[in-house]
Amino acid sequence: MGRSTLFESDQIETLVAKGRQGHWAPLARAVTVVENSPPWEVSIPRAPRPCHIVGITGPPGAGKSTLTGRLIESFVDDGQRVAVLAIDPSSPLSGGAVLGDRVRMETYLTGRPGVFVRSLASRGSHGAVAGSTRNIARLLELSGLFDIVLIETVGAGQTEVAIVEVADTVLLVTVPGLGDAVQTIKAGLMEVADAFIVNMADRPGAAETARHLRLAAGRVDAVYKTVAIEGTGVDQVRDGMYARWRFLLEEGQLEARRLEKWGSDAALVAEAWVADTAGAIALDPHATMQDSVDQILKEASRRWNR
Amino acid sequence: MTSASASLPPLKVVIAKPGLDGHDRGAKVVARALRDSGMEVVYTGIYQSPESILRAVVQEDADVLGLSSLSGAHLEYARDLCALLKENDRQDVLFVVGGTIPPEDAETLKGYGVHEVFGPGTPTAELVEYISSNARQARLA
Ligand code: B12
Ligand SMILES: Nc1nc2c(ncn2[C@@H]2O[C@H](COP(=O)(O)OP(=O)(O)O)[C@@H](O)[C@H]2O)c(=O)[nH]1
Ligand SMILES: [Mg+2]
Repeated sequence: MGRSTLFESDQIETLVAKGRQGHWAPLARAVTVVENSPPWEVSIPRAPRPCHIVGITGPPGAGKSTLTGRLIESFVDDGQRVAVLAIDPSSPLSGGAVLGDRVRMETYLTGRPGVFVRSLASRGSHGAVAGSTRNIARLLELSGLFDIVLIETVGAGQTEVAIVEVADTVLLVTVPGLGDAVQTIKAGLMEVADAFIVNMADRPGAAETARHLRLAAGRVDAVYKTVAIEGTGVDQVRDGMYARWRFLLEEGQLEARRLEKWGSDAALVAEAWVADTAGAIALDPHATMQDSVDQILKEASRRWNR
Repeated sequence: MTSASASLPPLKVVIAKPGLDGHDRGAKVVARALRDSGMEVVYTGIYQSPESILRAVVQEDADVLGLSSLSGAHLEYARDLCALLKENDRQDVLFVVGGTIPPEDAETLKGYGVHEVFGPGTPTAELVEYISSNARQARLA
């Protein structure tokens, strides 16, 4: 069966001890190991103490990376320990990627040696994306080196759903002046957001967009307005995240939310396993669809139990 | 065993521009060429200090560091970076330098620990070929 525990407790202890001294190489190496392993081969022990995993999503160019940089500044200067995972899409043609989120965060890293920022390419299928991102977030959580993990994803394509699987809180970043901004955001994403951020509030139409968003989604905690390039409104988002975390912990919501995802977590790993099997076997193009599905599932099951 | 687990993971490359050097065209051309050959390229942006470049290499767990310099300050930056990489246990990174590097400086750079130097007009296929055939060896050595 394709499963193994990748990390023994002494390995974790080493990377934690090094991380405490600001030597990030062992943690960074461990992240690579998780990233390069199929999700079914990774088993990360549960962290004794949870940290707040916050997803930041929204359309390209909305200012997510700039805002993430500002949130680093705001949280760290308020005594919090922060890690960031910044996900950009892989090219479907070459499989390569240019990961540019770090550019916008650099300014906020100087003089804040406790911050760990890692760029990730979305790679493969949806199940695999979610699987490795979740495992990496769990590894960061297990290290005990962070109070908060921010995950930036592009709100388009496969990663948008993945973030919901991983995060305790989802922030949806949008901007004014996109016509009817609500229409431009995928409906599914609206439903899973816990709070909205109208960034670029220095541009006309911010108040109107915020009003639209408040009307469109009844269940969200809050609608924030920010100007990420200036840092305006960022402390309010930070304080909102503190309140949200207290709520998740005090009401037993976090436990429930994470347990609720257990089924979908397992389904994602299964999906990745099945996709991997399907890519590895030869299918008869003249067979019926049912027969081909049957062949994939049987082979996937045979390999899993091997 | 299976398709995904059989192939090697993509190389991770950090492309950095040190100091007060705004010439970013070459760095971007190189970043795109490496992406198109299947590598994952982290671009740090312009005006980086040796410390911020080191931080990117370490936190990104890069296999390759590519420094792009067209300001004439390549010797100091490369020397500082070689020292920092060593102090932080990352001499295993494949360190390449590109830009307007006078031929006579190439040997000095290699003396510091730079693996290879690429001047103006280098066909991108040549860089891609060099990096893909040398990166993993550097890491395993
Ligand atoms: C275009 C250009 C500009 C543009 C830059 C636009 C931009 N955003 O990049 C502008 C007009 C803004 C500009 C401004 C200046 N420039 Co100018 N510029 C050039 C010029 C003509 C071409 C550079 C270029 O883009 N080439 C095309 C790219 C694709 O080539 P490349 O960068 O060399 O990259 C290739 C290789 O070097 C290598 N490579 C590069 N990086 C990397 C990285 C890795 C990892 C690898 C593997 C390979 C690699 O691979 C690439 C593909 O072959 C050069 C002359 C020259 N012959 O290089 C002068 C030149 C670089 N500039 C020069 C100067 C002096 C300036 C200014 C100071 C002028 C002034 N007094 O204001 C300013 C400074 C700006 C600043 N903030 O730094 C001098 C630098 C002298 C020096 N080294 O001491 C040069 C050499 C001209 C000269 N002969 O005097 N410049
Ligand atoms: N006017 C304005 N521009 C901003 C603001 N926030 C970010 N930007 C700019 O928007 C562009 C895209 O930002 P980026 O953070 O890369 O967006 P991302 O693609 O969502 O990560 C950059 O040029 C930023 O400087 C803002 O609040 N106001
Ligand atoms: Mg971004």
